[in-house]
Amino acid sequence: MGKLMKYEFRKQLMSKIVILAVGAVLEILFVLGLFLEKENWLATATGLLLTTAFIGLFYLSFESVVTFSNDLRTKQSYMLFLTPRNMFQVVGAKIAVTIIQIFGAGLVFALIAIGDVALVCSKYGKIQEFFDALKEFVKALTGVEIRLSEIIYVFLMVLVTWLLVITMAMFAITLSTTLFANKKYKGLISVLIFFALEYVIGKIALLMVPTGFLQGQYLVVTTEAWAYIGVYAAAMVLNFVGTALLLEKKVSV
Amino acid sequence: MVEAKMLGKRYMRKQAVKDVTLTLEDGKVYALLGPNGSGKTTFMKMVAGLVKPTEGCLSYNGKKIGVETKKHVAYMSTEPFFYAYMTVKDVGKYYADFFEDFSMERYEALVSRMDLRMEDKAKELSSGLAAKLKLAATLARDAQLYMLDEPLNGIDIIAREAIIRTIVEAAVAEKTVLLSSHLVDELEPIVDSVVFMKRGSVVLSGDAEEVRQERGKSIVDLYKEVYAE
Repeated sequence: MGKLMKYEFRKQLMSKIVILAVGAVLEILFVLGLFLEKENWLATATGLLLTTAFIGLFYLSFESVVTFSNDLRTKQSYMLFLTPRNMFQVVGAKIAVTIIQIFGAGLVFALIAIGDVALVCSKYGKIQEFFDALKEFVKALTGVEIRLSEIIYVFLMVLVTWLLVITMAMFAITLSTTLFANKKYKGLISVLIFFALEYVIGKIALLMVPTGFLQGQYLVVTTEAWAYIGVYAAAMVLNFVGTALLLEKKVSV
Repeated sequence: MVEAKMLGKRYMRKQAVKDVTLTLEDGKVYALLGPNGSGKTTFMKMVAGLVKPTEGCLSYNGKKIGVETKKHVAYMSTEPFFYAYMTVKDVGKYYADFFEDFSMERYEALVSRMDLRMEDKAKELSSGLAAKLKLAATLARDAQLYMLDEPLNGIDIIAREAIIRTIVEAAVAEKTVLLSSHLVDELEPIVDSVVFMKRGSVVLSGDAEEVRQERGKSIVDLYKEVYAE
């Protein structure tokens, strides 16, 4: 699977280069603005860096779906489907690469943010004041004590929901390709299948865990809340298995 | 040995391949003949594992087409299919990564013989050079079965001879070669057996020499007769 992952990274390399290049240019603007004391440059660079991070992470989150669609739609599919690899490995490699690159990009942007904050504070010698203000801000925002279990829960919920969306999109594309091979409208059909799946899985999750994961407006990490994640995780696995089996048994490219 | 029994492929209302019963024996060079839309490419793609049959059975050396058979079957499609970012060198590395029977040494020799350069971008090659690249990548494998779909498409008349010579070199000992082409006259001297396909079905097949003897005609003339109707 390592080799499949290597080529998935390579196929998606250009987007990373573009995002990093834009980030690097903005970072240079930020540093110049800071040391030349040009506030306009500083504000523009900060705003654009945040926007780049947001758009970049959003695009990288779903780039694997675009690549997967191209793999089935174009003749490049032969590269993948002629190789003696089973489809569980092929789909697994795509998902693994998606996870690695989103965490990698997140880490890069987090390091840039920490570096920039440290630069500002060292320049103006107010690092302690900054952290004090940050603590006050968090306290004012939450107003409550945040438990570790809640942090873990939210992290897992976001991760599983995101992976569910990715696998659901892959399954929808594969199903549409299986049923409507060589038809121009199969892209539209895959979008409709995706929304139908989303609706059905949402309904099933609520049927199985009627309380959901919120009590009123607040998140409370109960057994039911964990079960809710469990239902999403099960749906994710089913989408993954369904996609791999359809590719193995039915899809013609 | 490839064995197809009542093999069929249907795309919704279109029947691309129908009731094909055929055996491709080891160590022979086959010509798969027929006009566009006769089912040649679909048949090859089914053997390569790219297209899934909707009817009948298909196996290679007794195994259903799948991961195991892909290790021994080298298929060259008629269209270019390399990733856009790839250079000629990248194509070789890709094949080396995925196919145990791929020889980088042989690939380099074929690339050199075909006037390609390792640093050339695959997507920027002329159609003739792109065809040569596909062929070099495919024939650099020590596969048991080579399937070349229209290997002479886009190749100029001078280079065709070199291509045919390269194909003949690959067809040694127990290796099977299946060639599809419209250029029947170019293939006739090198093939052992012929398979004529028409509207998705096999209409004539057999040993090339026996077919010539029985019908009293060359394969080229027979081609004209079968498809002129």
